[in-house]
Amino acid sequence: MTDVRDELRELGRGIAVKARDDLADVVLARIRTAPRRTHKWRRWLAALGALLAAVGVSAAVSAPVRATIAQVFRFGGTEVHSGVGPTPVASPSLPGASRTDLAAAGRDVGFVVRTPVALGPPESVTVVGHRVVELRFSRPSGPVQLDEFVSDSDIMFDKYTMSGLAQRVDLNGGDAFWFELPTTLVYVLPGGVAAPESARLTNGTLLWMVDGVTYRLDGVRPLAAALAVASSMQ
Amino acid sequence: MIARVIAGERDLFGILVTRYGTLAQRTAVLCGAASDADDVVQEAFVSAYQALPRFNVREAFRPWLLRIVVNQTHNTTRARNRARKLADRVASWHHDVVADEPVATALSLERRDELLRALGELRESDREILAFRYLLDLSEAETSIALKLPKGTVKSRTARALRRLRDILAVQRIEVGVGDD
Repeated sequence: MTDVRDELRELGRGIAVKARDDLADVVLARIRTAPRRTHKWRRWLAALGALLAAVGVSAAVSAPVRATIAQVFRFGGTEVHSGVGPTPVASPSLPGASRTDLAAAGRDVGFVVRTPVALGPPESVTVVGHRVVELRFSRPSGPVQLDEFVSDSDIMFDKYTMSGLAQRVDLNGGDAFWFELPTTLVYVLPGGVAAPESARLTNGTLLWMVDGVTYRLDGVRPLAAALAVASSMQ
Repeated sequence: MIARVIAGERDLFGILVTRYGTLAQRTAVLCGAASDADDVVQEAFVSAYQALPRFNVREAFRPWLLRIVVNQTHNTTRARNRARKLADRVASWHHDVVADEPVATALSLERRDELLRALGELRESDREILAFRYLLDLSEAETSIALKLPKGTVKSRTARALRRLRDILAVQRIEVGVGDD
């Protein structure tokens, strides 16, 4: 007589149940639109994601330190492309941006907004879509902008480098990326759609992450000055 | 691959969903999700994605995912099942497993019904362990992770559940035999 275990296996093979055909699409769509949570574990997730992303980047941008970006790499919620990208607009605007102050900005985005002592208090504070804080400073050399956002797996900015060059630098023992030459920066809406009206040209960008938050400093040159500003964050 | 998903290549997760979708769906149904199976599976994959950073990439993904499916099924059905009689639950389990369309199988329809009826008479935990070990054909190790039980417990419970199943089947035979006389 057949063993009942074999019969059960046979019964299992006869199960007609299947996943719906569009399951992967439905799940991916839900993941993309899942609301940001700022639970402790989520911050931890972001930190780990950042760590893994940084490891990936180390491999992607190999020694010598200054390397040509082959295609695309991701670092701290930013996807860096080698290419021209969308045309920068004269007065870039980010959908969902509103003026606020430092304390309110932190409450809105769910992390502590830090400021660089080296630049003094910001001239203006803007929150974009409850997820990005923009601090603007006025310097004799020109306008300076510092953006802060949680660097989880969502891509929030596309960055296009026309020279195809990025420099990996050390910032207080962590990885940072320096873009010496002009790049085009485009804000990416939740859902992954880029907002062309946000395309702006940046000159001298330092990108780094601390505790799951990405910082992007635009407009401070040369590299040594940018590193000094980044080191003065409080 | 999983490390790459965690690192931000979100769309790669779609490959995992496609690969394990049907297994997840069967698991949900066998754990009693019934008409909620679609929702349970979606919910489980979204939860799995969010929990990925806690997943140890050196471990097996399949049983880890199935544990999430089991938890999700139990969470979804707990409230509903409390209000339903055991008999209804078993009936729905039968219906889902058998399905309406004829499926190629070496078992006779009669034998299939016998087995299903016998499984239906088992207590929930016995049925679940047999479903994992044989209907889904998972190893002891995988079952132990998916059901969050020590390996030794999986072994002893499986043996006990099989014994009970054989007993029930034997009684069914006798009853059928008597009916034929």
